[in-house]
Amino acid sequence: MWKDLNTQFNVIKALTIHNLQGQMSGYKYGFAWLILEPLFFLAGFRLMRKFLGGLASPPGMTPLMFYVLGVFPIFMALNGLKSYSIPVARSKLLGFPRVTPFDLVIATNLSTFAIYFVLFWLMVLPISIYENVWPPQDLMQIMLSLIMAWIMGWSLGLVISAAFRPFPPLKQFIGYANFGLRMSSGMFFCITMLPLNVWPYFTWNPLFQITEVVRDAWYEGYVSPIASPTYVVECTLLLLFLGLSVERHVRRFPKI
Amino acid sequence: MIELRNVSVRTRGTINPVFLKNINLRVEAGDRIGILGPKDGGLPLILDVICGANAPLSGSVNRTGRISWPIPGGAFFHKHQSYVANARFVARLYEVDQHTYISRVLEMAEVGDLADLPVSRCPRAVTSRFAFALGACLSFETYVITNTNIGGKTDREKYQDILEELASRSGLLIVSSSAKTAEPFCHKAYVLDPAGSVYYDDMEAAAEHLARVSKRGDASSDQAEAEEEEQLVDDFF
Repeated sequence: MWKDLNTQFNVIKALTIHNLQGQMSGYKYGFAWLILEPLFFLAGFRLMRKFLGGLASPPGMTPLMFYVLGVFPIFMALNGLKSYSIPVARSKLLGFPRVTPFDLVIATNLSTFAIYFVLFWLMVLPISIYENVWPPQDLMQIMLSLIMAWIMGWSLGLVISAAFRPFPPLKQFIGYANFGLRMSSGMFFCITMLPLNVWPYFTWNPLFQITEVVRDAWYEGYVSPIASPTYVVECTLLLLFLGLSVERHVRRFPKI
Repeated sequence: MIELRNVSVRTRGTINPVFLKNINLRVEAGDRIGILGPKDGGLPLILDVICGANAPLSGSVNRTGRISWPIPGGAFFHKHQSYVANARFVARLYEVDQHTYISRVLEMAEVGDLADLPVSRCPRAVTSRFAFALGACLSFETYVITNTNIGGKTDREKYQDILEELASRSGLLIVSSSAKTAEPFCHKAYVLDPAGSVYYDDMEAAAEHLARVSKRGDASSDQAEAEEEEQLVDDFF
């Protein structure tokens, strides 16, 4: 068993490196675009807030870090969501008998995690020092939340893959769902900015919970009234269990 | 060992779908065996099932032992990367010593000065030799071969000798639409027929069956084309 696990570990390692080497390979400046994508997002939100709601940052938080802590967990989760097509689609790498669709899912998401994790710290360090909010209050909670966001994303992707196989047009709807999740998961707002009567409609969303947990863990001056790390862990474990079960089921059927 | 029992496969979303049923195959370790089928007769589907890239519509697949990927397949190459980088990926995947493996591959493929150039900028013949060497330099119980014409015309003899040497120590499964490809290396073959797979322990008989199936396929595609043309004429008037 240990030998098999070691082999699978090495296969995933090889695929992750292969994936990282192929990222943005079609573009002239490769990885530069990966760094620019979240930067554009942050700049867009900053401009939007400037024109729509003034520059006042939410109570207890600094303006730039507020966005950074909102954008990265969501990016990690929603990139994982894209894995829905991997277990059901044909891949050139599946020609290797020792590569399974599950290895591809994990390798693709490990490379995404590696990129966003490095980017997160590359951005957070200078910004938090500039805004005088370094060091974070609870570093461990932040790291765990990022990992939970990542696992939650690809687990949800695996769950969706079951529906994608018999119904390929689902791809179109996932685009809308992705947009909805981006907008409702606290990228550019926190719970204290919302009226009390709408709180129940937002607190069920585990992604929103993650952004709340991350902000709560970073700032001393912000205590989220709804952040529940236990709820995040429970949702992640449930989605992981469902996702892995679905993947085992889906691999018995021919690919699209 | 590779065993397919009552397997059926089907293409999806194509204009002329292929449906194969009652495929029964058994390839023991050390066997030299061909799987022959007409062009567009579903060979890639069976290949996917054999290598585990896809599941069959029905039936069971049993694979044990080390089976290669379809050689000389290079669809997984990163074209913007060098031969060395692509070989390193395979070395990592199969947990072999990178330095020894890469030097063996480069030597067998006679890559020379092109080793560090992006694959997209190298001649096709070299890439074909390289793709073959990637598989041939690893140890498998069964080598799955899809093309025996490796490299350019001048390279053929050398690579046929290497194939013969591989077959002498391991099994060889040649999947092809041409009986001539399999004949020099295989003693027996399965022919994919619309009604199922037919086993032959005589390559000549297998080749005759393949010719019949291919003609039938050509005739039916000619007929389909003629019908389509007639339909177009009808629509026009």
